[in-house]
Amino acid sequence: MLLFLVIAVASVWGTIEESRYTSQVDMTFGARLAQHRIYHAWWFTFWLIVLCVNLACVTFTRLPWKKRHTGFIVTHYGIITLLIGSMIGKHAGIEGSMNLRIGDPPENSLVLGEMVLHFLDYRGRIYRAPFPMDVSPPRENRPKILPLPHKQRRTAGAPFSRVGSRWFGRSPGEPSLVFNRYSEKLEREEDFAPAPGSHSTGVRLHMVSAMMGGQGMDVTLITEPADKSYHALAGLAQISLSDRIVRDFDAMETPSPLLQIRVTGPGEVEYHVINSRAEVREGELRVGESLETGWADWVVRLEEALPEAAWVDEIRENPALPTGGGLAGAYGWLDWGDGRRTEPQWFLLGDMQRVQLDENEVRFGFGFRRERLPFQVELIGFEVPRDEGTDNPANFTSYLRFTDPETGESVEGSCGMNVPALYPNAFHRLLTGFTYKFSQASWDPDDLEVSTVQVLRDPGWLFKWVGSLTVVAGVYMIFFMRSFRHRRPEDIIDDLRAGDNESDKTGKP
Amino acid sequence: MKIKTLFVMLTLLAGSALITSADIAELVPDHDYAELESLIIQQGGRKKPLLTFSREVLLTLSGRSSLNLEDKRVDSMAFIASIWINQRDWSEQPIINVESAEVKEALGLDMRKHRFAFRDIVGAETFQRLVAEMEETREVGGDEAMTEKQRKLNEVVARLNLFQSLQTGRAFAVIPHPSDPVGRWVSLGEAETYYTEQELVPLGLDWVMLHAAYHGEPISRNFTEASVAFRERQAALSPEVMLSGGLVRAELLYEKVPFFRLAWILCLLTTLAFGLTWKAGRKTGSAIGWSLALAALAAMTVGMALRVYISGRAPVTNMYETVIWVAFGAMLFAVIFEMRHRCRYYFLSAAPVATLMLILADSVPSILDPNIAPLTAVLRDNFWLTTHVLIVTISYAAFALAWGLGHYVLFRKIVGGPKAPENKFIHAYIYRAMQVGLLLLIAGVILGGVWANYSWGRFWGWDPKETWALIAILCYLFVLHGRLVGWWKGFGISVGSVVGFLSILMCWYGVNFILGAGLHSYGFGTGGTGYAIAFVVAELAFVAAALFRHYQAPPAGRRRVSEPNAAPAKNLAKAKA
Repeated sequence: MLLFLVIAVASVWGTIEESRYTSQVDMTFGARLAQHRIYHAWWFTFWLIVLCVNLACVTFTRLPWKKRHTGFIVTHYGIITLLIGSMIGKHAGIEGSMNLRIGDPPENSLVLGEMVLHFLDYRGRIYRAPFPMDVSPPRENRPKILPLPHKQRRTAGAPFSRVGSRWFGRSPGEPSLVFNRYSEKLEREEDFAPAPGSHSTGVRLHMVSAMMGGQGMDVTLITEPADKSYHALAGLAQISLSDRIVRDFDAMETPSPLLQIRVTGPGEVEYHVINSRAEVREGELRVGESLETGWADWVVRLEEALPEAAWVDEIRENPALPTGGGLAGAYGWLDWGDGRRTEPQWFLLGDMQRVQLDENEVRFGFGFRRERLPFQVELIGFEVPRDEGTDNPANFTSYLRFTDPETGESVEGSCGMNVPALYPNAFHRLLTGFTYKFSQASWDPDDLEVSTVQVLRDPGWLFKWVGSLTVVAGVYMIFFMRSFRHRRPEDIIDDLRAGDNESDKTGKP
Repeated sequence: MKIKTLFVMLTLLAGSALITSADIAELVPDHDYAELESLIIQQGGRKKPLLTFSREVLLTLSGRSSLNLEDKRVDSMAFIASIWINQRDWSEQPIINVESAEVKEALGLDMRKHRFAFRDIVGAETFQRLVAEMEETREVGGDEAMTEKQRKLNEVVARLNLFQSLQTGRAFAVIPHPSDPVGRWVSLGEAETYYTEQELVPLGLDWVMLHAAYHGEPISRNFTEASVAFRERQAALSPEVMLSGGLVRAELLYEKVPFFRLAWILCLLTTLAFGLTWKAGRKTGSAIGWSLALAALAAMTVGMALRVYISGRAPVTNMYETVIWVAFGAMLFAVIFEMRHRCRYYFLSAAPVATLMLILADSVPSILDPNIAPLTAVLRDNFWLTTHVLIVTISYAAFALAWGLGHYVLFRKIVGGPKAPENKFIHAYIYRAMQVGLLLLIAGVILGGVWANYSWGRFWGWDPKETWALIAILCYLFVLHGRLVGWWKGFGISVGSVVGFLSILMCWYGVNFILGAGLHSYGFGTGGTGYAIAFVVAELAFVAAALFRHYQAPPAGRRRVSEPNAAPAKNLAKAKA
């Protein structure tokens, strides 16, 4: 029995080692990665199962159970219940988030934390494959190869399958998508380029101020889209590019510094600049020429001016970006299996991609998996009360409306910090964990019409709660209740003390 | 902030309407501020007496609660009155704390000094470039992208901003919102946003009188009377949004009586009382020690009760509060255990631990921030906050107690060598303290799970704090199970209590200050990492030394595999022998 106990305890400690390791991973790779690698990995589940079996076995070693074993048994079965609850939750539950906006139509699409790739065949059928790029990225020497389910004759054995199932393996000679890199540090470099026939004009300026440390900055402006025709300098001054220069500033009491630019020809612009003392300067500028703005010591140099310009996108990896600071995308190509392949390129997460290879076109997109809720959700209000006299949020409350599409009935609810909304919240559903719980997850400080709620359905919750209570009760019994335990430290102390007293008595003459 | 603020700072440098005053006596005339202290001001998300405001502001600005200028001690109220009422130029006084050596070096400041004048910092040649660089880093990569130096610089910039808002009077939000109890208050200069000129005339007159009285001009009121008049006039502007008199009195009491300083002195005395009378004078020593310990507990209780009353929530929402709470818990457990066992070991372990923690809380305000500030939204649930956090942190107290006792055992081992007599009582005491801690920690963590399940949706999310709490639980479980199956006995438990506490330290301090990640985002902070690492290394060295002494010549019978249930019986047999 002792030997068995030692082995049992040793395997328990094996798990501790694992969890120590996990926490180190947690530190370096971030929670999601750690979850994928460790906590949701098959071997971690395996360890938990071994732990459960082990805990049960340990209790069997104490057969036949006596009253004093109660605490011990209660505790160990409590842990088992808790772990069973967590496994139920993990496999039968659902966890995702919804990004809702006030005024948007009711929504039932839930974004889950796992990435998938969707492929659209020429008949418009959608196929799905797991695509865990973020947590297990492909490498140059270990690319991720996804064969395409495109050839009719092979439909039966196609590795790519219809939505809802998975596919495995790869046959040579199949058209496939190949990815060998994944990055979350991508930048979409927007630059303008000559575009004959375009109705937009564009300029690129370089601004320097010795007072501000002499480090220059580039300002690129283009008239279309309109939001790209302005540049605000830390809220103090503005530069605008337009087809018309406004000169009527008489009405302004305190003019804000403004530089207006109009492209007059290739490499030529007309400018009009006003500073906070209402001094105006205007004239023409050619590429390479500089202009003193009269705003402190800022100098503007014209780098480029195009009368017909358009934006072009270029996706680049910038390793200097912090984690999560850039766009996410995978680097890969389409391989037709017969020696033909496309040029490698970055595919951004979330975008619908089209890849052309000779006469063939392949359409796919990847992103976070979505799941349909059996009801509709709509955001009808969002409030952020603040701490008095500050902008610090004191709470967040989303007001939600849930609609059952079958009956058409709707229910309103609200979720704030620490106060989730439940739907449908009939008692039997609540008990069996078929209720969806909506918790406030995040917000956008710049847009108070938008709120992100976390959605969770956890059929294992009752096991978790009962298990937890049992563990606490069991530990209490072991440690503190005389009748359920053989010897408490107090008893040892009392015995020791009794012994001391005896020896004192006997020791003294 | 950014470029805009830089411009403002430069303007402030260039030409200010403030009177420069070289003479400290003229800069800070002596007055009695007893009446002005209770003027209500809104700042940092709550309303507070001017005394609290002045303390917090000066602490943030200079890292100290009073200034020493040319050998004249200037307390926080004198400083605040001078910069607000006197409207003197303080930008040349060395009052802004720059503690980071890196930042001082980069700014070309005197490495030997800790506090500098606003002018010296802003006027430093490299200042603007460094700030612009920092802002750029932050713009591109967010707060995480900043280097340690930039973080420290950012703290300095925050102090400079605070100084400016004081110097310009913007910080003094004493004009109450006319109706909304949580509405934004404004400074005197902006008073007309809420009130008409007629409404403001009396207050304006009182302000002028206060000003005149401050300068000792011959008017009908002295400074105290003028303070009262101004305060009452301000309160009358919008009586329904003012703080209640009870809260103001509580807060003034809390600010004026240094309860926690008192507590550590009492704890230290408790230690001495028990320590010095260990061999001789046991009875008197115990009597004195007991009363001192109870007094320390009372001081902490009153201090925390006031804090709870002022803030309206459990006193465990930042590192400062948890450190005090753990000190309190250690003393509380000691008293409870002592009532049962009367062994003095508990006091002799808890009192030094509490002293250490309270001194720590008292002496590093830049790391352990004593200010009472509103909670982040996530924690605003008094029921869960109270149950979960109080229980988890008080379990730390029980472990701290075991840790202190463990030191005693290890110390004896180091001094006495492998043959040192083992005190089985202490082993049982440590065992007990660990059990209490473990039960509370398990209960607290599970309550946290229930809270998380309720409010975040998930029971367990492998958040760093959660994971480390689990690791701590497993560590102590390991120690206790090991004893149960007879891998080790008293000495092993003692080693476990010391090493196990390091896991608590990681969970408590490390997750918040070293990892600084996760959802348990209360009281994240920086600083002290070096000391913490030094502490851990010292502890491990201490344990290693004890282990070395223990294994020098292992006494027979150690590491003997035995029936778990028989182990205590054997102890008993030995004790009887």
